[in-house]
Amino acid sequence: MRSSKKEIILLLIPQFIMTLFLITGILNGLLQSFGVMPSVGLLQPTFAYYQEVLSSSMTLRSLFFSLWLAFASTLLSGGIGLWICYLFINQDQLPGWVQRIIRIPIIVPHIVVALFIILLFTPTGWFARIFYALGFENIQNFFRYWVFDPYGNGIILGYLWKEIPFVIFFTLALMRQIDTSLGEAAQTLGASRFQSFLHVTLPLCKKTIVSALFIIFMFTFSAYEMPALLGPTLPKSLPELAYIEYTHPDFANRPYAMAINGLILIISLIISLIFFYWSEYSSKKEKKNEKK
Amino acid sequence: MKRNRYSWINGLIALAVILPILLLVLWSVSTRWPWPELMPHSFSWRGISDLWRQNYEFTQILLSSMLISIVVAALSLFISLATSRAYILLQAKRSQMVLYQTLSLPFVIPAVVFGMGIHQLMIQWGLNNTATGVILVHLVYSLPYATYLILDAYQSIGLELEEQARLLGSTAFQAFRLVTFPLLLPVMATAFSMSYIVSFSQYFLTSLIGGGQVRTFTIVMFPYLQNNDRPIASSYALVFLTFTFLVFLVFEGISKFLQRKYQTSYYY
Repeated sequence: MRSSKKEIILLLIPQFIMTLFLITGILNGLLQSFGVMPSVGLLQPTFAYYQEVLSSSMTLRSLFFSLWLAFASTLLSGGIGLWICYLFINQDQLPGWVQRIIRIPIIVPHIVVALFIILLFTPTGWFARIFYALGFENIQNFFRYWVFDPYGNGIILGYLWKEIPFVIFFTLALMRQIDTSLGEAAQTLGASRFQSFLHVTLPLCKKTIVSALFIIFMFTFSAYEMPALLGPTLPKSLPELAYIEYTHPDFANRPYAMAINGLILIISLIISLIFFYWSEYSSKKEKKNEKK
Repeated sequence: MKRNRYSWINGLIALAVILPILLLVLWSVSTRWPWPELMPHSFSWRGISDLWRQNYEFTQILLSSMLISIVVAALSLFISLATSRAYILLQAKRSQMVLYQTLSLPFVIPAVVFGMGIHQLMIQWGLNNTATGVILVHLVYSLPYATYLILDAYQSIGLELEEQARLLGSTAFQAFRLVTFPLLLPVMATAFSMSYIVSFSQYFLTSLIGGGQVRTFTIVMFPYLQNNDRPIASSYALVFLTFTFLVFLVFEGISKFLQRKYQTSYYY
């Protein structure tokens, strides 16, 4: 169509503006992380702030803490989510109410989930009270390790509540389809339900599963709210650290805060690239196999 | 049989989802719930009624939060429609791929990085501490959800029907309005509710760019959570959840209603 080109450009203007907006924000932040802040008179780009960031033991602790939160949340919610999918697809008639209930956590915002964790898992939380009523008099000591602790257990629990349903929501439809077609075929050939799930369904859903895990990882690594509400005094998550430095009254701290942001960004980009190249690679492998 | 062996998980899941919400309700209506009691010591509607009694401010904050998120959702819808149409018109696979990657950029760039990066510029542009600024930054992160949904649906509808209409004499706009738009309405309802929820749940960006001047529901709720004020935090959270669910259910209902005469067809 001849008028298409003009139409296309016109239609893409809003998206272009939004993308430009996003990139401008990133570039401005990066510029500041290299020490370029014209408003304060700093004009010389330098790696000094990054060096400071990478040599600060507190920042490194926060980095490992954030990475730990992300890996633990991603792997646990992936594993448990997939296991629940297995239990779901093996039910002849998964009741409608279950499918609807599983979507509730997806709508609940993280802030409210943080409150849930506080109401349930703190030493004065409901679980503690149940166990106390059952006779465990020292139960409060046990629950001291579940929220506001240095391993971020409360944070991970909160993420699990939201992300397990997300994994299920993201992968269940596809899994069910494969299970009823190819999975059943495998079972008629003698495979057990578990074997067909492990060797037929899961591999075929690989791409979707990994996409879900990628999304979860990216989010849990760089989120601010959950660690801020459920986290310990130390170590702080990386985004929290960045924000604390950013709001420091001394303006000269700004580039240091931006360098921490730069660190968050670099790691997010690395993970994204790994994910991108992995999906390209596995698509190519599949195409090769199909041609045979 | 099959059902009994695996269906135990259903009850467990229901418990895991409902229990926290139930606790929320209990804490909202309790005045005293000391350790180690399993139920609140005394009940009162004061918690929730106090909320409504700081009447003007509370309703005002709720309404302005909803307004901001509604604007974000509406803008997301509009922009994603334009972008999706452009995507289909771009028949070249490579251009489509590039466009698709740009759409996904907000998933790769964390909100904290973007927020702190754009903040200074927002100040220079006079957009900080304004609702407009907040709407703009919310839009960045709500947009991809809407675009993914709309793009998928728009692609499967295709432009052929519109072309037919135009061949039969309608103008371009008429063709869109009378052919494609009605077909897109169900997805648009879902996309709207998703964008709305993402925006309504935002805390960090609103706090940073809004600077405490733009007070949304999450902003007001956050301090109570930090200070472990359980009854008030629970009351706020309860109202928050109620309104979020309401919006979601309304739009789900609209979407289902619009699809009532559709047949499901499977593409694979």
